[in-house]
Amino acid sequence: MSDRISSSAPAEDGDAPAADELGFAIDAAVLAVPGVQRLFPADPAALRALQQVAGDGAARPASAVRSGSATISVAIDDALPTREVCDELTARVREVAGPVPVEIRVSRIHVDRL
Amino acid sequence: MTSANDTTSPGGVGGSGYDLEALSAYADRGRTPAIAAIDGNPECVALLDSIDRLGALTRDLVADDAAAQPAPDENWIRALLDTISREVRAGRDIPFPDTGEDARYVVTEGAIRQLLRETGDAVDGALVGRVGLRIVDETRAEVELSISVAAGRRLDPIAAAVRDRVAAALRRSTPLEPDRIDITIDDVHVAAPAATDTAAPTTAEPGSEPR
Repeated sequence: MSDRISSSAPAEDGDAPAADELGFAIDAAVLAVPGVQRLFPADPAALRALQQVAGDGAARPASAVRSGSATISVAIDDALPTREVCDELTARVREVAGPVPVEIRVSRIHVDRL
Repeated sequence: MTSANDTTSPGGVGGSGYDLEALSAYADRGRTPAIAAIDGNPECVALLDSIDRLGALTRDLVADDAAAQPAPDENWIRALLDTISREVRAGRDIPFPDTGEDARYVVTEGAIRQLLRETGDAVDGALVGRVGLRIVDETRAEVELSISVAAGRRLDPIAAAVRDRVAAALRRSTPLEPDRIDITIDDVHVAAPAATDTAAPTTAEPGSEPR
């Protein structure tokens, strides 16, 4: 995974392959954070459908890197405080993408004690 | 009652294109073959998890004593899934305060509702029927839960445990502090009594709401 990690600035708009590469690196880093169960696509479904068409159906990262910022949507478990998990996620994203603005959407909090 | 199909149209649950029936069938197949539009949709995943939980509960009830206890009412399960279908909608983003200018953390309303539901369901003898969440402001919320309690169990300890755990979950996992948590026991379900905390079979009355 380390070969995908870069401290360079995030890809500029219009540089889709570079943004995707950075997005995949962010996906991998985020999924390694304790308490993170899964990633959901950060972009709306309609936008992803357009991207799929434009990219000939190629796999795309769940993270969105755009306009110099990174956005992720995550499912986490409730064992750790959400705020702490988000702080750790922000740190991991910045290890990969540099000091970029980070938006984290917690879309699912799973209770493990069922 | 309005069906999930109606409440989630036009794009199915979470805009996935799959309605409750399709998600139930997907759950029955063990979520295989994988469908990315479902697995990548948090509202679908929340509903699937609920379907799995209810399936497990139903099997437990049937296995407990099929001869002595009535089979779970299919309409009851359907109504509960309809309720959950509405609750899993993402709704508003609730932001954490003081994250700085270059970071933003939010939790969706749907995620909070499902957190509260699963927290209540995790209490032995409790099954959450409906989750009411009213966001007072960005830091405070009021919660109303209706629960069903296993027959033969004492009501007050279960309601108190649900309330305490829901309060703790809200504080730990969301930006919200509970202003008020109301628990209404509005049903009793048949289930195997736990080894302790048993009592004579009890029927909950609306007036028995602990506050």
